[in-house]
Amino acid sequence: MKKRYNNLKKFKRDYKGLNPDSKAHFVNKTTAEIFAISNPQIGDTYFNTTEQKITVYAPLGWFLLESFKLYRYTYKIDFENGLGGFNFSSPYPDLSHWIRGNATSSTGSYCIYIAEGSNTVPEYSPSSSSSSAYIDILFPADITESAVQFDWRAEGEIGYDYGEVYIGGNGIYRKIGKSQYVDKNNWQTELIELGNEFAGQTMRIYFNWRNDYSTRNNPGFCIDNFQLNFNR
Amino acid sequence: MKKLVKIIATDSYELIEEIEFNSEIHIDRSNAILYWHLNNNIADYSYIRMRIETVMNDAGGFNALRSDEEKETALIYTKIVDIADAIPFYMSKGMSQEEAIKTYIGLRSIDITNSAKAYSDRAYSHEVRASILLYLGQSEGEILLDNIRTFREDIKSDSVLGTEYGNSREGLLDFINSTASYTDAGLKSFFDLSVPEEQAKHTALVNSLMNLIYWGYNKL
Repeated sequence: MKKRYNNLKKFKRDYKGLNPDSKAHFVNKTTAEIFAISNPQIGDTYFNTTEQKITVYAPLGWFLLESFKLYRYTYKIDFENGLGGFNFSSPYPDLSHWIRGNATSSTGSYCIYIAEGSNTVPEYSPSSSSSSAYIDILFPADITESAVQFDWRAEGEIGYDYGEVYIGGNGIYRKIGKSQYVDKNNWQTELIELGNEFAGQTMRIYFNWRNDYSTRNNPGFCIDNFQLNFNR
Repeated sequence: MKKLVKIIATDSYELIEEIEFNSEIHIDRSNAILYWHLNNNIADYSYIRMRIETVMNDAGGFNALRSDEEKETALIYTKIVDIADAIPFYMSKGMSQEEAIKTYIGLRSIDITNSAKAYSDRAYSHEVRASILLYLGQSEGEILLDNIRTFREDIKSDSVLGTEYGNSREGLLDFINSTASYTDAGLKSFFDLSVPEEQAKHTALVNSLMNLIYWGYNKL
């Protein structure tokens, strides 16, 4: 049985401009879990925002408003038709390096992932190696908040074979998100809030993979549905 | 010995018997210190420490661990790392000898607190009481429980298990195994070991108590 959201007024005041066509997500800041409005589940609470004429679903018990944020605008790359502006840094193509392929994906058929040599499966090299996938993004000048979002999976080995995400440009090179993207065989959705720090700047988002020579647990780093979300 | 496995389908962790392992659905993480530590809610503190010690020793000891991250993790379970290995490690990270010793002692104190909690939960468990009463009967069992009261308190306060387990004074496990000054005493004295049936019961009780208090694990 579904229940009407009882803090709707506060929600509407905070997010009056919600675009019904946007890929809005509820985000739990504590656990970094993300819940898409397009994926209602049995037992969900729901409410209808009459102004925007959309129905938003969220799991029961997720409505501490301070824990959630919706983004109105989204720039998305799903890799279905190409790299969408991504580039790969692969100095040693015989070792672990990024490719675009369809051996796995979060949605659709294609994503980018770490492969070895000329292989097209998401299996990394047993030799120590590293590789970067990156994209340059212009953050609009008038953003009030922003977030990088992507789907990922990586089994790897904690401490030795794992992914990392960095933001670079204009004199900075900073790790963002988790300390290691590892130990998840199933697709996850990650959202990394960046505020308005990069408004008006072109920044480079790096997806780095590294592995050592020892234990190998495939897949390595796989990325799908990259998004830049922002409000303005 | 149980395996720490990741269930591929759910990205969750479980302890399973070796015979249950199936590489189609599991990834074996039993030989990785960091996975034991990061999944330390899967068993009690002392069990996690024991398994990390096993992995460390299988790798060739503290200095043979693959990374500083593994070494720092092992040092959380301070008892398993010799101070002679710990101090040079800390000093290689920029600490003075005095700071290194202070850090080691601080961690060791926390380690003792954590293991005291885990071992005392085991020693005072109803399973231990039930095992004693099963093999000794009500009357003798109560005498034994009275005999080991101080030992159980030593576990609870300072994680003292016995001289054979790295402590400077005797403890419950010396009593159970009839070691240290209990060579011909302790639990042995509750059985007539010249009688095969009594001998078998003694062995069974020793094994049961060692499994419950030392080798076993308590799911939290």
